[in-house]
Amino acid sequence: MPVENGGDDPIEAGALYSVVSAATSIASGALGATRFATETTVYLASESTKAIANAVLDAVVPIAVSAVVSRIDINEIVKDHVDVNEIVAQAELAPILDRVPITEIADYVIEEIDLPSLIRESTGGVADGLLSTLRFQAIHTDNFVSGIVDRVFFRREKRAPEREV
Amino acid sequence: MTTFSQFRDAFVPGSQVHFSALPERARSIQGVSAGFTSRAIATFIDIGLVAVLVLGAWGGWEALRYVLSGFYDLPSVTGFPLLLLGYFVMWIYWTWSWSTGGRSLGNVLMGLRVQTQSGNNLGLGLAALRSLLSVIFALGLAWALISRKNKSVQDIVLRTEVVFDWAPLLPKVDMTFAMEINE
Repeated sequence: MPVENGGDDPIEAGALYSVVSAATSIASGALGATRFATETTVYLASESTKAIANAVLDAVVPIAVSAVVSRIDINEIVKDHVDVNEIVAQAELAPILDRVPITEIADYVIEEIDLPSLIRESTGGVADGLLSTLRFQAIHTDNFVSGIVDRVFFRREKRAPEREV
Repeated sequence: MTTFSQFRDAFVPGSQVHFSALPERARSIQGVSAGFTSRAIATFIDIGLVAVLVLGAWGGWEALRYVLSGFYDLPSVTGFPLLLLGYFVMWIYWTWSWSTGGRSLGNVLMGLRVQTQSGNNLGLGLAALRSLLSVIFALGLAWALISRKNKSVQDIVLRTEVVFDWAPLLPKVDMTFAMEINE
């Protein structure tokens, strides 16, 4: 039987191509699977390592920090290394003053130094003092007289309301 | 010495703080009923004032009579009519004083104020009535010696009282501001 197409058997060539193509597919599939498996493994491993590391740090760091902090005097460090005046100088005053109860402080100061009496003593003068003296004397006499009357009438309790000066 | 914190804690938000110009030891007696001596002195001061007014008017009248004696024969006012005039002026003066804030000159000097039992100022009618009773029966004040509440006869009849009220207070300070701070 004559070979018409120059010796190459088209059927054989086709089979060979199929084989090679199949082999290539399998190889690339295997490679992909391997790569996937490797990547997954690496990913899982790194994530679990991170998680474990975080958990360990969460547990250890607070203990370690508190152990460290309890052994040092932060106030002392701040005093030595931080210029508090510098920081305060940069603070904005207006919002701080907005929070300060200035009228209350004024009231407190007026009350504490007894400003009314200072004013009274510096401006009242003799006439005011005379008037107060006269009034107080009258009240003392009131108390004296009503005391006598109450004794005459055998009253036990003092007159209500009392006038203690 | 109170600290500012104590001062602030003791302060009730929304209330008012007032500073008293009164001497420290006079503060406790403000609003308390006044005794006989203070009131008697105040009364004597008022009587003295009215006496000066009436005698001054009488002196003026006599001077006028003297000057005009060549032209008119003006009647002399002496004795009983003059006394009656004194009583009348006293009545008017006390009515006016007590109905306009409760203080006559004597009351002002002695630091007293006439008010109703509920603490209000006397109205014109009540002031006129109390003034009339005081003028025609001044001795009624003596009951303040005996009364436990330092009440004169006039006070008992008309339900009034006389209290110490030395000086007007300084203006009150509105403290609503502090409420905003505390919120």
